[in-house]
Amino acid sequence: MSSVHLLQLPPEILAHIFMNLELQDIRNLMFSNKFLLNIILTNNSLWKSICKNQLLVRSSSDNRKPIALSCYNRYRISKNWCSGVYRKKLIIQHQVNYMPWLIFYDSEALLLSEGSELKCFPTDKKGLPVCKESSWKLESLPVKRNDIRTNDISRFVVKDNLILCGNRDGNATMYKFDHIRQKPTYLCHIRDCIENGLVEVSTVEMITSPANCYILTGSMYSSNLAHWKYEIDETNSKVSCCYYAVLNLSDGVGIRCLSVHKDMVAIGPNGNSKPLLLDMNTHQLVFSPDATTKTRQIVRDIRWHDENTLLYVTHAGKLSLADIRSATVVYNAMDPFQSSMYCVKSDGDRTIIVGTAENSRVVFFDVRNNACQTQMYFTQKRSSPIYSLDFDSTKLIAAADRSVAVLNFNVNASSTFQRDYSQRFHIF
Amino acid sequence: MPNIKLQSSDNEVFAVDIEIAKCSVTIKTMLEDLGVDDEEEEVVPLPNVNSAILKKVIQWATYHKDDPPLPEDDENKEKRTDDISSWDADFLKVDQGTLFELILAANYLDIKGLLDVTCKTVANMIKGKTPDEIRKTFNIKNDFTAAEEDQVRKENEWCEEK
Repeated sequence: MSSVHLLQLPPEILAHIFMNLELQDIRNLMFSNKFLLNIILTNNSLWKSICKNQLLVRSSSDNRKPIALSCYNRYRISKNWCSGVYRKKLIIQHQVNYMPWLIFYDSEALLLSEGSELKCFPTDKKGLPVCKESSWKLESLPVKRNDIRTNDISRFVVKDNLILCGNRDGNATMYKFDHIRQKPTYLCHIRDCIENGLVEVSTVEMITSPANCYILTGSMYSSNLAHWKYEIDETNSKVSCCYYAVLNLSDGVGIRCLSVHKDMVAIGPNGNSKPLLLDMNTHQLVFSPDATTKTRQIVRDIRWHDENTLLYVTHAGKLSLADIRSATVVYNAMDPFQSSMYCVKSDGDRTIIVGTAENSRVVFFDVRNNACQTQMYFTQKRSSPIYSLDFDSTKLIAAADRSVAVLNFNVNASSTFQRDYSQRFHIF
Repeated sequence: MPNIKLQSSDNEVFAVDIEIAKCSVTIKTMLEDLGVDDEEEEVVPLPNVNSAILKKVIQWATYHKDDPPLPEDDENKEKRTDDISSWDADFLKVDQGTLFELILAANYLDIKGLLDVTCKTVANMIKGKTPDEIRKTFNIKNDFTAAEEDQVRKENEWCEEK
């Protein structure tokens, strides 16, 4: 009777054995033999079991395409996120200062606003945006104004093959595309969105549910949220867009940012540190502004974390996650340097990434862990705010005033200089 | 209690209490599928298990026949390998070849309790050992070249810290 050897056991049984081990022991097994190394590397459920308490970075909610990676690689890369191991690459540099807004659309293309232009940079095989030449660009229509305002794009949103840009000269423009890498076609231009065009459009949003198709525009200098109802004629790609209503939030409260989930509009106000919530079915505010308005309080960016929780960051440097069912804050954190927070994005799970006002610094938070997990990433030497950012599970793209940088976390930890700030910036 | 007859790969027949035999999900489903009456005395062939191992399995199942059913695997349950009962620990004081054969038998017969405890025993033999000690314990060949080993170590440095 021949005796059975460990390596003769079927892979699923070996995995069953190894699931009882800690990461340290798994590592030693990997180093012992090629066959074992291979079995361990390719077994996804084994890694899920061993690393179940480790943070796993997913793609941001704007970037819906998950990246195909084995569990081993996903945990390896997430570990790099947590310990600040990455390779930085400046992909765009400017001679002038911009306040860029960007979306890394489904990891296929980087959409970036530079002044009055919206540009699209496709990604290469490795998933990194190639920025030597844009595959298309759109210039917002110039409108003659008797003041110094330019037609720079302040924000844009992409949803259901539509792009909506809000401009500083008080207008908004909508485009339609078939594929993100092909140049979008112009649909409509909305003139004088708020207060007869006297104020800029600071933020835009779209509601694209079948029952309600709305364009929303807000300005930080006005408490009026303007809505347009639109209808797209699919046959000749024309849009009919008519002014629908204006909602006055409360005097002294401006609209800094908007985020839509289904028929619910989350509003980040200027002059208030609490977000507002508008139900588009009833046109009623679910959360109303505080009676006391303080001009120094600003919600800089707001975003739905998942269908029940809202994520927002304030000028005072506070990050909050609020559950709309109970209207309570379920998680909050401060910037370790108490600087303002300019933009925020999450992966809808545990990872929240915030762009701050100084030192072109991005801060990384783990939502299920209040005590630590604050990492810092710096994207350019010259001090600048991070105006916008986006990420997928392997890389972070952040825009400062003169540059856009990609931080790639899919690197080999031993061959990369480590910037481990996790010990230094625990928040207690 | 009615008995059932189990036949090992080397054609030895064991008479086992049917309730004890049913701790193997494989035998249980086989009996249900065949619609075998509890009264009848059938011979169930088990071509993947030899008599020495089958004897051990029956011994284990007899001792554990009154155990409460195991809870479903919980994702968040803490991993433990120090919860092996002293009877099981004594029972599993066997040579490696027998231990692995017991694992294979537990897997084939689908006896979760036995599979868990045998896998934990092997895991305990790995715990805290260096790659070299692991190789020695299980008589595994180091098939890495020096350069490959260096490469693998570098790539997996991230596993080092907690």
